[in-house]
Amino acid sequence: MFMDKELKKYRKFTSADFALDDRFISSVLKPDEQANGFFKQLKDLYPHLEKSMNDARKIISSFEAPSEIINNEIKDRIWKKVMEETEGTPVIHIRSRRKYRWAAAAILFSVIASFSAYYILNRQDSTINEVSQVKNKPANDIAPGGNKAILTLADGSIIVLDSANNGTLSHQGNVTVIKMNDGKLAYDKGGAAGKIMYNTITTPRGGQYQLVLADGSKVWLNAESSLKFPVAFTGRERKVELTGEGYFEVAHDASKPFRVSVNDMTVEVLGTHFNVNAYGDENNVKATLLEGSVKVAEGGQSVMLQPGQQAKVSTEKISVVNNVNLESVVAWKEGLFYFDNDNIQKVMRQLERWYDIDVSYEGSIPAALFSGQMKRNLTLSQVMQILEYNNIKYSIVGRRMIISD
Amino acid sequence: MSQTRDETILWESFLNGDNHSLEVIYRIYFDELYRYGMKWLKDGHLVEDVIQDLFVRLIQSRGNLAVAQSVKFYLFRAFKNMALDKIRLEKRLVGGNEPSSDTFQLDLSPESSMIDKEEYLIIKSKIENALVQLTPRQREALYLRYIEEFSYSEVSEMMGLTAKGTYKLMSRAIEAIRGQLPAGIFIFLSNHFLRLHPY
Repeated sequence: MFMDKELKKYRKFTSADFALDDRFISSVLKPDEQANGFFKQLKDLYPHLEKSMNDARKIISSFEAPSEIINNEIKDRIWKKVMEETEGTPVIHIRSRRKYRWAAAAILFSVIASFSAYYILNRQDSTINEVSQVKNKPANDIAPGGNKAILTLADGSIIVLDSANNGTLSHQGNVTVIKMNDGKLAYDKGGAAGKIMYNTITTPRGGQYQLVLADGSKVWLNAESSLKFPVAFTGRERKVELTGEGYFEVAHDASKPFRVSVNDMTVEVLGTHFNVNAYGDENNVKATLLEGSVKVAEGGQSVMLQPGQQAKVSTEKISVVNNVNLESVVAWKEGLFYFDNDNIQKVMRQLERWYDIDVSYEGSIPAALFSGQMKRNLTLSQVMQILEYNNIKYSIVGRRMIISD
Repeated sequence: MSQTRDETILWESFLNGDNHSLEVIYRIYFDELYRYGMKWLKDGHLVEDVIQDLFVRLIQSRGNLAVAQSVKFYLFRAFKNMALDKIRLEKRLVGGNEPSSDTFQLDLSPESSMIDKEEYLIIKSKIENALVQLTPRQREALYLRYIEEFSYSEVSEMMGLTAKGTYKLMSRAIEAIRGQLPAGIFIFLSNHFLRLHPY
């Protein structure tokens, strides 16, 4: 609880006063529990301040913060020039240099470590000020997921994709696997290969990955998912196996249908854009069509989908949903969570997969429904802060989160 | 900021002759300096030149530098002076007029992470309108306070104003922006987009 005196100071604040108040500014720019609690209490005490606070918050948070991540090569090159230009510059008064050097080395290491980790995680997303994000992160916060996956080659060898260097990763038969600069994986078909070799790409919790198959089809793989696919499509059909969630942009080839199989369900297409969500903990497998046409088959049944339709496949039953909110279905590949009247369990299942946490409930499960979107590059504490505003109470120990009523 | 103390140690170590410490500082602040430089110079190559010159000068004048309270502030202030010199030089070379800082640009976040999309678009266009009306110095002050997160006294010093003057400059800017915000009650705290549905 905060002192009345502290709160009283704000009683007659206008939105401009709030927008200029240090405490308020830092509650917007660097939110923490204490600051949030303070302004929540203020709002409860003086409800008339709510609008001013909202306006001020809007103004403060509307300015651009993103900066491009400047390529490390550029930084190396410029630093080299600085060193060349200052070569021979005398160093004046050196005292207790050794001590400082240790400190510098330790800090250098931690800075580089956090930078490279950040760089890897956010290569495809540079919309938040990287430096300050690294700096201001609470010590025990859980970072969002990023581009991470494991590639299992036909011979069983494993390549960890968040640390492998860019460039050629392996040759399998006539096929070359290339890791591109932007963190994607591409399969370059050489000549016709002999027997079909399969690779499997697996994303952990908190991982996602994008790849381009040998036929040019693009696949985005969400967290805790896997795709088994041939390194070259030599047969009469293109067949891949999915677990978890993937978004496909299939290159058109009328002579070779593309088949995605999930458990017993198959999605068959010629060339099209669609999303398949087949997480084991979701109620049913959902295939959603954005462009083109697909056939969804399970057991003996099958349906053809039109763009905007979704097939929900549960045990021995396929139902078709019309006018699906497509934006919400593929938001994950655009770096967003998208909630559309979802209950807390559905929200939490997504957070579990992306932040690699386990959620359990104490007492009754909150009945609130959530709608809206938020970026997947937020840290867990930032996400939870949003939920807190919606009166969700939680506690975190390690990677276990408990929601209480 | 948790790293402030570490940075001060780095800075002192640099003053004592260790260039590696300066390199760490260089790498910490490169992106931010670059972003700030682009607001003035709008040309990546020029910005890179200024960053290079800045660190060359730091090393060359190492013996005369002060112990910095805030390394970031020290860097930004020196960088701004050098960037403005660069602008003057460029203008003279191409035969332009007196140097001015009438170019400071302030952009809105391309897509705020948290505001509801439609609401965001409305607010964005309103605020954009308001921003055009602001003076470059108002824009710069807002940038330094909200994006670079400098304190008021640092902003004042950087802008060559008194604390009171800075406050006045900014509050006028805020009022102008607020005047553009659509009326009515917004769903939620602005950067908390989640709506709670009654059940």
